[in-house]
Amino acid sequence: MKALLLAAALALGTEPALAQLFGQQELLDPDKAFRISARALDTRKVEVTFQIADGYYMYRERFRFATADGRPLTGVQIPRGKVKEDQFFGKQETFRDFVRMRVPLSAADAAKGSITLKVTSQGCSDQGVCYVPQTQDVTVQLLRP
Amino acid sequence: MMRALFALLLLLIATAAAADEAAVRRMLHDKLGDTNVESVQRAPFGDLYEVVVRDAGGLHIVYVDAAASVILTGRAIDAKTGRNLTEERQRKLGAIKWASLPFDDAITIVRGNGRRKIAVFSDPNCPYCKRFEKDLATLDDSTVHIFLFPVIRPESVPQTKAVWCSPDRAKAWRDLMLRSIQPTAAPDCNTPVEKLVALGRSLGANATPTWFDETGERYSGALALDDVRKILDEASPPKR
Repeated sequence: MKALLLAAALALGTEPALAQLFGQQELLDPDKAFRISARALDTRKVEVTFQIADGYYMYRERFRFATADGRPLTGVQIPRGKVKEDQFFGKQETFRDFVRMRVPLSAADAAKGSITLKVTSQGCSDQGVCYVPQTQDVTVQLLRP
Repeated sequence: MMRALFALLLLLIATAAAADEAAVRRMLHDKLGDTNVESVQRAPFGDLYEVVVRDAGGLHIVYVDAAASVILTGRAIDAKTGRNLTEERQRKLGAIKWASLPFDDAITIVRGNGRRKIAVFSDPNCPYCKRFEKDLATLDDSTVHIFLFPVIRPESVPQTKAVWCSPDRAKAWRDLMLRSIQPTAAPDCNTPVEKLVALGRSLGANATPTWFDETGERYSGALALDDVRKILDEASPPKR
């Protein structure tokens, strides 16, 4: 029992020192903070996922989708985010950890075998910065009908 | 005699160091090619070389041992003070020339004797920019240069232009940032907004707020006001 208490005390004692070594985080580049990936769900639908690093978040209304030549893609299904009460902007829906979105494709796009999506997104870090919106290309092999 | 021996010893040490450095450079050349390596020099700690490499993301620091057998990536923390020596060095290497900033295109707000100087690239639709502005409004003896940097949302562009076209720019900016009062001026005068966006991007500002102290060192984010004050006091010390 005594040994256990001692161990607990030691663990507590070392924590601030460890925090000093590992606690201070440098800001991630936006493509590392918000990691994009995509896969075909069926012949007419692509799922786009962002893995969001701990301490970072993305705005629901800021996602934009387009084809490689810049044609906007509409009808994208985005889940409801967590409502964040922003002191200046009122209610904002945001995502943490990850967000998965479904992008429907036209018959013409679906017939191409593969498609490159241009995905624009915007997010912030709890460390007190907001990133400039970034547009990332992601290419998906489509399923054959 | 003694002196000659000493000189010889120094020469030997210098030669050995040069041999080490050459080995480090050779290894880096094999690994990274020459184009990525900016500089190789002795690190101010350990038997290590500090290597500055550049990629699309900017400058990075790694360390290599004198035998050129390992590359260390990570941060060197001063064991006594807890300071992140790697980050400080990186900041120094990435510093800009303060005097090269186009202050005529800034909105400048001076408080007290104006000693603590800061240049902030700010967007009205970035919540942290607003928080930062609120904090800076309480920073005494300061000169705050606001560079309009409307990059977060499309509507930021007309908003910042309207601020610039207002008869009292500082008031219009503070109204917008601190009280959410939209500027009423038409956004159709001659503005430096596009120029400032290009400038900010060329300085590598991929987030807002991005700010610089008087030594040109760059910081990202609305840091706590106490930390900001400390940084600015170091960069703009009181005159004796």
